[in-house]
Amino acid sequence: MEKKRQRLNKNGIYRKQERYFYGFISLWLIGFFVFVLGPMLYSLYASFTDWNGITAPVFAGMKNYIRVFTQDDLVGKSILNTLVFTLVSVPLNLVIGLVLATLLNRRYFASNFFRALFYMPSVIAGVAIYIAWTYLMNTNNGIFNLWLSRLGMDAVGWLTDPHWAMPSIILVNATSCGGQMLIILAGLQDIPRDYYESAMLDGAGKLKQFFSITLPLLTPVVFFNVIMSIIAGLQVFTQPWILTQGGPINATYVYGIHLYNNAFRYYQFGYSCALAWLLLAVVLGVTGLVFGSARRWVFYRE
Amino acid sequence: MKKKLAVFLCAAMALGLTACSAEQTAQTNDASQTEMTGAESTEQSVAEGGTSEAPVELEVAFWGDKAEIEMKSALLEQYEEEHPNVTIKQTYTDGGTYQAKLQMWFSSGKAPDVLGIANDLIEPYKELGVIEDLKPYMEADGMLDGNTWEQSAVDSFTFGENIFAAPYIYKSLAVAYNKDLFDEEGIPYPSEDWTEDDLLDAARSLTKGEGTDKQWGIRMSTYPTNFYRNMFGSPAYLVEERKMNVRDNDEIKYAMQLFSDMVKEGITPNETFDSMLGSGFETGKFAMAIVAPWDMATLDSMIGDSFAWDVEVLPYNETFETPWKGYLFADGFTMTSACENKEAAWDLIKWLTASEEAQAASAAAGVPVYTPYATSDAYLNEFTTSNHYNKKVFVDMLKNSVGGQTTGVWAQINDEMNLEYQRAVAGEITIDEAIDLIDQKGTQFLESAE
Repeated sequence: MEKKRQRLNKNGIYRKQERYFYGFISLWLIGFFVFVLGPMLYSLYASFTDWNGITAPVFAGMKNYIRVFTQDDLVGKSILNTLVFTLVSVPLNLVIGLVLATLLNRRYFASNFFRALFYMPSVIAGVAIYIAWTYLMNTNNGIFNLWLSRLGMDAVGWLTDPHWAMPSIILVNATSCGGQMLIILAGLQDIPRDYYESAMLDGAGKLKQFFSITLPLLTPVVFFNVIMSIIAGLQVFTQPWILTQGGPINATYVYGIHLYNNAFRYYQFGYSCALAWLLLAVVLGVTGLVFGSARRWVFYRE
Repeated sequence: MKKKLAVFLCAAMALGLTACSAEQTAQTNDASQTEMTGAESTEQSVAEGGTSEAPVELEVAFWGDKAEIEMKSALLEQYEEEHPNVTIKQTYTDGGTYQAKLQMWFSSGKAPDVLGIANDLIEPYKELGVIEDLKPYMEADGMLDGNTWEQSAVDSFTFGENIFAAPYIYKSLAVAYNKDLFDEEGIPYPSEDWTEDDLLDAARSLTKGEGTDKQWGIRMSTYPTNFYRNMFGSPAYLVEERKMNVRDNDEIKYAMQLFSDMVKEGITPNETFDSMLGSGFETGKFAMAIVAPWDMATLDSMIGDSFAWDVEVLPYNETFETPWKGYLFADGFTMTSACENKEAAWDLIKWLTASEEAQAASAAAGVPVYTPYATSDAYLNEFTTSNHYNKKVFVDMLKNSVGGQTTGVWAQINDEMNLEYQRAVAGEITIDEAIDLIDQKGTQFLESAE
């Protein structure tokens, strides 16, 4: 009996199995085209229009993009605030996540409990947590200032002093590093114990092992966390919106808030779409730079 | 076998998505939009320009928290019972998403027939011809004689010669005062003819202590940012003429300086940046506070018997010879220009806004705007709170309240005013410099918006 011949593609996967593959992902693809790519393309078109979100868009050429660079004073301020947030919170969250993961890498009493505890802020709805933080950090009646007053110190305007507002938001954001901790923890547990045993036999101490074995082998995980954190940082909106609404005196007025205000409060959807596409370009550019640098500091095990 | 299994799995996944979607639509959630049919829907076609007898279907949209949605929903069901030919399809959301919903409805051309609308949301839509001018309907029914609604409530929905919504309920501002603190210092209570100087003197006398133990003279909360835009009758910008009115405006400068000085003097906390959450008038730390009707139930339950309190109208300013004009939060109902059953829609709007039974039911959500009911003993002496505060104050305040605009270019100008006011309170700039910047930026925004 003749066997049915199946042609192989260049990857060695049978074409019939390829059909199953596309069949299974077709639903996701449809959703992606309809709910993600379609609206993205429409927003690209809208970025070249005058559109108040109510009536039909009117083509306006490059007007919105010109306005971003030449007329809108708040763009510069919002970009600066966003960069400050990103440049501080990305390494801070990474370091905290790394320290926590390292401490929780061993099995000891209640280690699972602490892993869950540190991860919990990442899974609880952000808005609820941030509202709770506004109570804790309230200038006149928050518990932080109550503790300070009991220590004889002056109250701090955590969310009301322009010098403290952004550091406070960065601090709040740092409490959500549980997700990074978990990913780094998985990376730590993937490192073979043999390396540490060999290093110990060669006389390497804990610190030497950490910097010579752990960190280099964690670089793929760190790379992933850096990329995701930069993307999240450049798109930050929820924390400053809930905590300070971009104040005080625009100290925490980030790009995300500027984009939101233009769309949903100022009814300038076309301009807001232009802001969104510029943000996308920046995020792609920065991500590309980090990818490009990866070959110098990311080490993959064979 | 594998092929059959693969096909089965694909179909199961597709079915799963469909079932998921159906469940979300069916769920009723305070924070999400949902649609309900108030009564059984009929398959009869809608008669054009519907008479009161012909079957009519109306879609009605509104917002609110859980209690307010239940109240409005029950009202609409009651209307259906009284008008068997009318079928109402209800669409509602929470307040936070309603503005975005309005944009979406009008941009897609699928706006409901009758819409709840706030006075500060209506401006972008009025010029686009998407909202019906209700003035002819009101005039035909003799509702603009001043006996149905207070004129300021009608004015809050009036642009030029057109009235774009019928007022439904409103919230005005008043001053709550702690009688015990006033008694301790022997200071007379606020009265309906008290002045701004009386308020400031009382606030100074009643401000004591420091730090977390401080007793404040008055809590202004975040209301100054609403107040100073039109506190003495000369607004910061002219909406109809689309121009700034802040330069050389003595009233605006006075208002901004007044609030800034109150903060610097220490008689009111600086809440321009954030509100004193969880520590309002009910804690007894404030001798006075700016309050609205929505505060009454909370104050009543939280204060209990801790201290005696009441409310009074905003004070009179002798320099400009006018009382402080409080900010008016007015809710109304309107119909879209595309509504196919305008007469039926107007009947419903009229019932909601000018019938005693609808206004009585709506009193839980705000101050009823229908004058005969709002000034009746049935309303003024009916309390759901144990403290029988002077309810008439909020009714009286309607005369001296003005609405504002919070959308489009006006939102941009408001944000700019807020920013420069914050800088002035922080001492970075003077009030004069703030006004110059507001005028300059506001003019720029208006030119860009043309």
